[in-house]
Formats: sequence, C-alpha cells, structure tokens
Amino acid sequence: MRLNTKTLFYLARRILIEERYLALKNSASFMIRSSKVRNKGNYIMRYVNISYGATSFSFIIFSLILTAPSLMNHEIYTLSSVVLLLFIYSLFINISNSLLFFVSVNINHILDPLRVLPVDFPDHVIAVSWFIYTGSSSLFAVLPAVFLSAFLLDDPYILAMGIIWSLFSVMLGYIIGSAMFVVFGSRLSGRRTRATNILRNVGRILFLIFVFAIFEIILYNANIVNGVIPRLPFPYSYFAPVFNIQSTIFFFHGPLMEATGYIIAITYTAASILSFVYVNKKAFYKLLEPTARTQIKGEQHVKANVRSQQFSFFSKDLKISSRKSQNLVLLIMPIFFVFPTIMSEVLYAPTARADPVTLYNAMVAFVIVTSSFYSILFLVIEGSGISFIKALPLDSRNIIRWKIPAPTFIFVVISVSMLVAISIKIVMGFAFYLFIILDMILYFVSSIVYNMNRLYRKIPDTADTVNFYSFGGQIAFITTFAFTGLIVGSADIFSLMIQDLLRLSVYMFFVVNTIVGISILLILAFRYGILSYRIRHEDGPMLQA
Amino acid sequence: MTCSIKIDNVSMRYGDKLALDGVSLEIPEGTIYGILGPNGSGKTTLMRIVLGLLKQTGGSTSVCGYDSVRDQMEIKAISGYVPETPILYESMTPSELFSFIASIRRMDEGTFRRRIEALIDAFGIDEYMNEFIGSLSFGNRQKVAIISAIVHDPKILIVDEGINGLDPRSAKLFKSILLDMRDHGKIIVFSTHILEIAESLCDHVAILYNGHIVANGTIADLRNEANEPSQNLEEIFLKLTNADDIPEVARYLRDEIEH
Repeated sequence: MRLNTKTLFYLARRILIEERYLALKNSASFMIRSSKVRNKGNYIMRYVNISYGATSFSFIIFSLILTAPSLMNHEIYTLSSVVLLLFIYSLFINISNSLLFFVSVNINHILDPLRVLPVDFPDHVIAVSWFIYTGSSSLFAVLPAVFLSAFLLDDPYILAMGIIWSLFSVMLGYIIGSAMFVVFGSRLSGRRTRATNILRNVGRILFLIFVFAIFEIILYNANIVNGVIPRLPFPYSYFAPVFNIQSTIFFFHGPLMEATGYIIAITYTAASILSFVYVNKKAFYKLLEPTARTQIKGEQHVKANVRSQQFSFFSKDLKISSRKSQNLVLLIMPIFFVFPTIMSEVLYAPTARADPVTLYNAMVAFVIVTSSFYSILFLVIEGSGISFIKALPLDSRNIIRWKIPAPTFIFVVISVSMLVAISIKIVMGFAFYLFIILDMILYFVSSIVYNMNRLYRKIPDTADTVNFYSFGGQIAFITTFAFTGLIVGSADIFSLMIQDLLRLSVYMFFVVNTIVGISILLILAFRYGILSYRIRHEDGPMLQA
Repeated sequence: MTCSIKIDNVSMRYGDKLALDGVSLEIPEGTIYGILGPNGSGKTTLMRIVLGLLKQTGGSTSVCGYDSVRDQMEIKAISGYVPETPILYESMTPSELFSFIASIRRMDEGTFRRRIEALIDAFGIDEYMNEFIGSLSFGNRQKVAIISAIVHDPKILIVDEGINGLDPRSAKLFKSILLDMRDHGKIIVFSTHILEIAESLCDHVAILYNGHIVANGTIADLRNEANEPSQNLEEIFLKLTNADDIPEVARYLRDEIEH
C-alpha cells in the first residue's frame, strides 16, 4: 500500500512534532501551557512555527546587515563576495542541520512505529519534513541578499540565478548531510571489541579528512586568495558549484554567458536531484534498520575500578562522545567551518613569516565555533542518560564542573595538531605558539563554563532526555555563538586596543590577552561556583559500602 | 537512628491538571510498601517526589529526616531507583557503568568489587559485561538498572514497575533481594500492575486513584475496607478503582466487533 501526498505531508509534520515533543515534554512550562490547550498537536506545531519564524527572521537580519554597506556603496565585487559568503554559510548550516536531523530521528527511534504498519513509506518523507520545517529557513539567509542585489542592480538575471543556486545549496547541504549519516551514523549493535571499534572509527575519520583534503586542495591550488573568501581562476570559478556564485551571478554577463550560466545551474540542480534520490533512499533505509543483537556465550572479565568522581565523569564523557560515530563527526565539525578561513588567512599568506597576532585572530574563530558547538554537544550527548545522572547524588554545579575537562581535552588535541601543522609553514617564535595555545584554552574554557551553565538551566528537572531542541534548536546555536563571540571577541579587541594605544610589542598583546583571559575565567568560575564550591556531599552522606 | 518516609498532604499540579491531591503516607523502616493504581494515577510522580527528582507544588516530603526539596543530594545518596524503563548510557558497557556509579557514589573499591561480582553472577549477566548496553535485550538492561540501583546498598529503594521484562528466575531473585533488604531495615517503595506480586511481597499497600489515596493499609485492612473479606487483591483493587464492570465491558466490545 502506498501513501498519498496528503498522508506524506501529515507524516512529515508528525515526525517533526514527535522530535520537538521529545525535547519539550518534560519541561514544566510546556506541561503547564499545554494542559490549558485543547488541541495539543496544534500547540506543538505553533511552537515549531514560532521557532521557524524566529530563525528565518534572524537569517534575514543577518543577510541584510552583511549586504547593506556594499549595496549602498555599489561595490559590486564586495557585494558578490558577501553573497558568496552567505551561500557558503547556508551550505554549511544545511549540512549540519540535515545531519543533526537524521541523528535526532535515529537516536529517538522516531520511525520505529512505522515499521510495524503495512504501508510502503515514501523514502523522501524525512527530506520533506526537514525541508519544510528546517532547511527552507536557510533560504532566508541568501534570498534577501539576492533580491536586494537584483533590485538595486536592476538585473532580473541575478534574481533568477540566485533563486536556482539557493535551492541547489539547500539540496546539496541535505545530500552531504544525509551522506554523512549513511557513512557515519549507526546504532550500536552487537559485540564489538575495543580494538575493532577504535579502528572502525579511525578509518571513518581518515576517510572524512581525505574527502575534506581533496576539497581543500582543489580549492586552494587555485592559489589566489583575497580576504576571507578564496577567489578561483576562470575554469574553476565558473564550474565549481556554490563557489562559482560570484562569477555566474555577478560577473560574465551577456546573452551567451547568461545562457551558459542557466545551463550550468540547471545541470547541477538536475545532478543534485539524481544524487538526492540515491543518497536519500540509503539514509532513509538506514533509519529503518532494526538494531541487531548478538548472543554471546562465555563469561567476560569484569573491570571493577573505583576512580575519582572527576576522572570517572571525564572518562564517561569521552566514551559516550567518541563511541558513536555520529558524535565523532559532530566533534570534528567545527574544523570544517573555520579551517578554510585559517588556511586563507595564514597558510596562503604572501610571506612565510606571519604576524602572531594575525594567526591568533584566525584561531579565535576556531575557539568561538568549537566552544559554542561543544557547549551544546556535550550536554546533548547525555541523551536519555540525563535522567540517570539526575538520580545520582550530583547537583548541577558538579555536573557542569566535571563536564568541562572532556571537551577541553578534545579541543586541546585538535588545536595543538592544527598549530603543529601551521608551524611547518609559518616561521614564528615558540613562545608565540605557547601564548596562542594558552589564550585559546583560557577563552575556550571561559565560554564553555558560561554557555553550559546557561544551557543546563534550560533542561527541566523532570527531563527524560536531552536533544538539540531542548535548548531551542537553531536559536540556541545562534545565541550561543553570539555569547561566545562576545566573550572571546571583546577580549581580543580590548587587547588589540591596549596594544595599539600604548604602542606595545606583540608579546605585550599576548600578555594583556592572557591577563584578561585569566580574569574572565576566574570571574566566571566564581560566578558559577566552579572554584569556590566545595561539595558538601563529598564529605557528607557518603554511603558506607 | 530510625529512618522513615513521611509524605504529608503532597499535591502536584501541572497547569490545570492535578496529578496528586493531598497525598499523605508514612512508611516506616523495614517495610515493602506497594503503590498500586491504574495508569496515570500518579504513582511515578509520587515516587519521583520522594526521590527529590520532582518538586511537589504543595505539602512536604521527608526521607530519613531529609527534606525532599531542600536536601535532594542527601536523599539521592541514600537511595536507589529502578525506573519503569531502564534508562542507561547505551554506549557504555555494564562493566564501565557500574564502575562509573561506584566512583560517583565514592564506594570503597574492595567492597564494590565483591558486591558487583556477586550481583553479576546472581543475575547471570557475566557474559554481557563488555557489551554495549544499547545492544542488550530489555530484560538484561533491566538487570543492569537493578544492579546499578542496589550496588551501594541503599537505605531507600524506589522500584517503579521494576520487575517488567525480567525472566522468572531473575524476577524471583529480585523479589528475594527485596525481602532480604526489608529484613535488614531498608524501606522499599514498590509500584506494580501485577497484583499477585504486590500481594505476595508488600507489607502495606496504598491504592492511588486520580491522584488520591483511596485505600491504605495491609492487605487484610483493604479487604475489610472493601467489605470483601474473602477476595483477592485484584478484586479489591478493581472495586476500589471503580473498574469492577470489566466482564460487561468485554461483552460489549465483542458485540461491537461482531456487528
């Protein structure tokens, strides 16, 4: 039995409502408000719509703020760069959103009830659900810029091409996100030894880095870098999807070139539709896969170790974040967002002797993205374990305090690796590298302390599970990025200002920045009881085993 | 020092919905106290309030002298909780999870090792100790949840439908453990839908219906209260919760299906 279109849309809506409901159901405010409404389904849908509206609105504002100055000054090249930046941003947002959507549907087993029904479910139901309620909002990040550009430059070609490419970006983001889920997403099943598990995950990461490296090599071998956005030479500039936005939309006008532009855009869109059909089917059936169980015979060795509470929490967080490959992908996702910027700012700089402050400023972007992302991720990885943790004698201060080491450890490993790689190309004093890593850690920990405390308070006492929507979905991402940017960015600007005003050396920039970093960390640590709090229960009612 | 649970006029309201309305109970040590009631009657809410996992909107609850709102950590330290559905970290192995719990509860390593080996052996899950919890069957996950809740020998054990999914041997073992804990002065608060288990296990029973306690006492007290001295707990329960018309309902359903 096949479903008709009306049922398909109903199901797409149902999936989304289910996902949001799981995030909201135990919040006291939700229970109180929903008890007052008769149509509970509509109540959640209203919440979904409000959240969608708020996200779209923030994207519109973001788009307008970025494009307004160059539009008013009629700086076409800058405008085209900004529009390209918005397209790349939209593409990354769609990649991460679609991957997170699949992960969320998977870990919450949202499709499980469908398996028992005698219906042949259309495999694009997830795509429809994602596009209507999540993916389409990213169009508001690019379309206002496209409309304004077309209007002010009085060129309908810009409008037509902008619309085609923006739809293509959404589809490409979904294809990449769902492909990542097909490769990396899995439910834990069966027996897996520690060695094979580690090897499997290492293999997947190497594959991911390999794909990413090819992408980077193609992009940067063009070897012409201007500002934060790489500008490609002619053949690439016209044919590399998304990165050809500047040339196909803003430059190369004339009847022949415009016709070619349409052909390219339509060809890529058609190719993406074919890829979509293939990848989407794979991803959908992966969601429907039942969890395999294996029967094991024979006694296994019991490792019964009692460690310190802190180490035990750290070890638990590392395990639950790294054992599911989908979590691993999320852990390394910040690198994807900022590595191109760091590459263009530093590695392809005209001289090999870089200014340490420039390198630090490039790494600040990495701190902001990683800290924001990990603040959310390391709460979300608790999943349904949050209710388990809450039944143990731990309060929120313990939980936040002990949650800081695992993301910090991963951040330090990635940052040091990046700096070692950069040090091969950039000649710079060792002391500068030490300063950079020290300052990065200080600001990373400060913002993670602030954000985790802020976000943790949003989890209701009675929550059975935590997912990305427990904190408000995309809005949570935007506000967390904003707060982190404020903490890290303002300290950086303050240090630069002091250095400039007092005409201090580069070393002094780092000294000031480190002092500011230590001060911020101490203030936040005392504010949230990370340092001052001595747990009563550590010396209190411990069970006499 | 004697330890008891005192629930005094506790109410819990979610918006307009009153989940518990003026519930009062006193549970002395060395007792297995059964909380019975139809689905949605407020059993889980009451248990979570006792544990300090949920703040009541009215009244007060104290556990061994600790206030359930103010002294949540103290209560959690002396309690164990077996939820209706075993909610555990799926990507950890039982072995890792038990070590994590022992570390958080700051147990002595020797005692923990001795106890955990005995419990694992008794529940017959030795062979699953290094498997991911997510790959275990429901019953085996329930065994992991039970061991997690009792490994620190809690003074208070809250069991919310905790026998669900256990095989007969493990169910019998768990019941024996509960009786042994009671004999050692512990308090067990136990909710179940299987009334035979409640009848055979519980010293006292309270029946919750629509957020109210409609009956409270020993099984003999309930028989007297229902004026049915010869009836079993199931019949008393159905009578007190206005559900003694089941045969008529079943006949009506059959008629509807056949027409």
